[in-house]
Amino acid sequence: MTLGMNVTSPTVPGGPVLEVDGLSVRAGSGHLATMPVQDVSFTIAAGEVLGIVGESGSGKSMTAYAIGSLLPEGVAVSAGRIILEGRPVHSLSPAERRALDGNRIGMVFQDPLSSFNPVRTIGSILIESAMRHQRLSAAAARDKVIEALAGVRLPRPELLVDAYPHQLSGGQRQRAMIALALLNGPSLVVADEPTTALDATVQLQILALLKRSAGARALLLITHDLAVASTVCDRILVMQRGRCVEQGPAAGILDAPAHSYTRELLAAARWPAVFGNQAHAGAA
Amino acid sequence: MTRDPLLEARGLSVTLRSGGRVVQAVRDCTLELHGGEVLALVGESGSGKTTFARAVAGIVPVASGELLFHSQDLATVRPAVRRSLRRRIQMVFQDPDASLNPMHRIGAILAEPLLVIGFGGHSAIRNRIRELLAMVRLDASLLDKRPRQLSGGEKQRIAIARALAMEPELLIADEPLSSLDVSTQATIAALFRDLQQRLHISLLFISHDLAAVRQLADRVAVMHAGEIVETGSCGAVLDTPAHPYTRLLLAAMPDLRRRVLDVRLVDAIDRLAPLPDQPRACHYRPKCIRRAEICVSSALLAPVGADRGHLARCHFREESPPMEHG
Repeated sequence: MTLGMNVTSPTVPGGPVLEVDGLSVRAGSGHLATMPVQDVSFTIAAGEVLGIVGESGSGKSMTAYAIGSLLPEGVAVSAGRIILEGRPVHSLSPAERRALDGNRIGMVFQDPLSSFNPVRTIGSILIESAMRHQRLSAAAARDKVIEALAGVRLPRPELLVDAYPHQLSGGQRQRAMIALALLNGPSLVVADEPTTALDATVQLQILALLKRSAGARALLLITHDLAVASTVCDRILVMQRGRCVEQGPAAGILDAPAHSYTRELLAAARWPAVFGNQAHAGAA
Repeated sequence: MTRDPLLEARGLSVTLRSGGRVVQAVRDCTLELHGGEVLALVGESGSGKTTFARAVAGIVPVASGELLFHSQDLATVRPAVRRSLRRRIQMVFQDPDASLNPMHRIGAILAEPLLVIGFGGHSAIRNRIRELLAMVRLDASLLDKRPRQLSGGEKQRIAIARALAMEPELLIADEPLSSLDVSTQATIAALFRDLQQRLHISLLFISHDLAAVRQLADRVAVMHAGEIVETGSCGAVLDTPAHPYTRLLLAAMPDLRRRVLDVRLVDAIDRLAPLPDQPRACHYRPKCIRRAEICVSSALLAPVGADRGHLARCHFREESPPMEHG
């Protein structure tokens, strides 16, 4: 395994790594309450990539936050079940969740600059996580982290471990973020718009890295970009205004969308349909 | 085209200072934009495309070279003439939230430029604002609202309407679609196309999204490390790219039809032995899989084959791509 992490395979052979059943999320309370996520259900098997695609306000990120127990203040799961490796995790206490999240779920966010503490070195953040979740000594954790940084193909990891987030390029920070997400051998990786802030060439490498390093794990990719989803996802779930409007194998969603909203998204992503017959022939 | 171009950059260079460092953000760029034309500037972050646009808009100073608008050098023309010329160049930014005052109502936001240019009395301004809203396909009922009550697409339409208030001949749009949802992007792109055709406005469209560029632009200029490395008609540049950097950008673009994650080219570039950047060498050489001895002296922008309008800054511009992808 090139990634050099202790890979734990999912504990439920054959069963899905993640099962989300009738998930609803409520924001606020009383008559001002809104429902950013309503009755969303899906599963992700080991080695599978599920993409949740939708526009802003569709509830795709809230779904990811609910799974990672990162919902903001005043927002909570109001119905449904989240089952990770056969264990219901939606009903655990915050402390139990924290212990679980660092181990079993790895999170990757859009902007690694705002998700890393700017006054701490990249290494110290990862070393602390390895010490806490893998009960390693400081020295052993440091070795583990250097190995992990090498695994995501960061150059000169033995120096980079002492670098601050701002000293890395956007692509390098996202690699470090992926190293952190994978550090403790999670069974599920949740990536929320992991390449939106990156240039296309860097995006390509990060997507390839995510897909390769997810390997036998389950990968949930949240994206607004159907073209991005089409390059990495086995299955796609389309969300609109908090609800799942359609889900299925990627090829089916892209070639034969059943829901009108999916067709609209595809038409917009393909551009020419919008311009109709005046589409630009160019010189070619 | 025999007519003089609307905008002409001749050997334009822009130097930026950040901290103690001096960065050559735009180096020796020569580019023409004709009346009614849509020219897309593409490239990755740090390529100099935004700085080039900001120099044209007068936001950053030109270090050397000439910037001609209606054949008049914006640097040397009398200040009064410069002001009236500059007024005909307007800019739309990526994030409408940052460019619209959140405290003001839409009516006041649109009235401001009209008051500045002394457009006329109250009723003339009121009529003009309604006209501007109609141009961007917005309802007059929005006039009493504030920016936060509008959707992202509506806010970008207001930013466009405000730019149109000055009756520009050249509209510079810096990543105007990037902060918008996919479906909104397409409608705003269609609006730009519509304005350009109806009002005969020229558009300098800065984008990293080659799919949008393909639909919107007549011509494309690809920038890398502050230089224009390839330029030509949209079809020529995007369908028969001659510069290895253009080929890389096209290969890296996620494509709904190809649906593959082909990292061969990007990985091949990563495996190249590092090279120091030499002053006279091609700036793309350190990341170029085609590099050779001759690249220690940079090529000039030169025609690709028989197409006099298709130029590339590469010694090997006539060769077919060395690596198949897709």
